[in-house]
Amino acid sequence: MKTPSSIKLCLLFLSVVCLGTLVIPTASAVSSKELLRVQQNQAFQGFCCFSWLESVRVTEPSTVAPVIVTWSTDYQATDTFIAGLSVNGGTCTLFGPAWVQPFRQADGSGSFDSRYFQWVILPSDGLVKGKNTFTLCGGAFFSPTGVILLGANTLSVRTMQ
Amino acid sequence: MSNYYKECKVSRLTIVRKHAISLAVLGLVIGIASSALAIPPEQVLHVDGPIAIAGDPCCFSFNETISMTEPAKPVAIVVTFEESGESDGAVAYLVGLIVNNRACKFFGSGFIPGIIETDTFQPRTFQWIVFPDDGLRKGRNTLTLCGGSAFFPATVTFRSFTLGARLSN
Repeated sequence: MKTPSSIKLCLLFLSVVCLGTLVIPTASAVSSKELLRVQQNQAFQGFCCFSWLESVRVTEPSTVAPVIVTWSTDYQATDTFIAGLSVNGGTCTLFGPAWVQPFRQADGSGSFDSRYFQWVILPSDGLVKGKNTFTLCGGAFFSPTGVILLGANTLSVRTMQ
Repeated sequence: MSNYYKECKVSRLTIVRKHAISLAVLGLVIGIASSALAIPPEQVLHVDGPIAIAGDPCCFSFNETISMTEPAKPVAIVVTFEESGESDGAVAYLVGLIVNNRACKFFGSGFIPGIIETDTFQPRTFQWIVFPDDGLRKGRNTLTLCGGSAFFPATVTFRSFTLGARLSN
C-alpha cells in the first residue's frame, strides 16, 4: 500500500516530467514566418545603409531571450558591401560579421560567390515582448555607385529560449 | 542509549533514501531531456575526404543522403551544408538537394566559386530551407546532396563536409 509520501513523490515526478516535455519543444520552435527563401536576383545600389527588403519575424515571450538570425546568400558586387539588420524598424546595425567582398560585375552573368552570416541579437539590442521584425539592410562601403546583386538566399530567425 | 542510536540510524536512512530518490528523479529528467534534444543520427552526415566529384555540368547526385521524419502535417526543414572544398581551377560549382528522389533543386544559396590558387581549402557554409510544398511528406523524407559544374564538365574536391537538418518546429 502506498503511503502519502510516496504518492507525493510520484506526483512530483510526474509534474517534473510534464514540465520537461512542455519546455523541450519550445527550445527549437520555428514557424514559417521565421523562415524566408528568395530565389530571384535583386540588385541594390548605394552607400550603407538602407533596407534590402527581406524580413523575418519571431514572437518573444514576456522574458525576452536572445535570437539568432542566419543569412545565407549568393551574390555579385562591384564594391565592398556591409550587411546587417534593422530590428523592429530601428537603424541598420551590424550584429557580427558583415563584410561582403567585390565579386564580378553585379550584372547576373557568370558565376556568383556565396556568403553565410550568423548574427546574435540580445534583448538589449531592442527586442520586445511579442512580435519582433528583423529586416536585412546594408550598403556599399566605398562608392555610392556600388551595386550588389543578391542571388538565391535564405533568412531565418530562432529564439534562444 | 541504544534506542537513541537506533533512532538516529533510522533517521539517517530516511534522509539517504530521500536523497537517492531525488537523484534518481533528477537523473531520469536529465535523461529524458537529453534524448529529446539529441539529434537523430540519420539527420546528420560527416564525410572526411578528400572526395573528388567529377562529372557533367549540373546537376547530378553526390550519393550522400540524410533523412528526416516529418509529422502528420509536414513542416519546413532547415538544412545546413558546410564544406571545405575547392573547384577545379577557376570553374564555379553548384550544390543543392534532391528531396525524396525528385529533381536536383536549389533551396537557397548554392555557388562555390572557382578558386585559382590551389590548396586553399576554405570553409563555406550554406543554409537551405525546404518547405512542405517542395515535396515533403509525412514520415521519412530523404535529402541527397547534388550539384555539378556551373558551366562545363569539371571536378570539385571536398576536403571534408557536414550536412545536417532540423525540423522548423
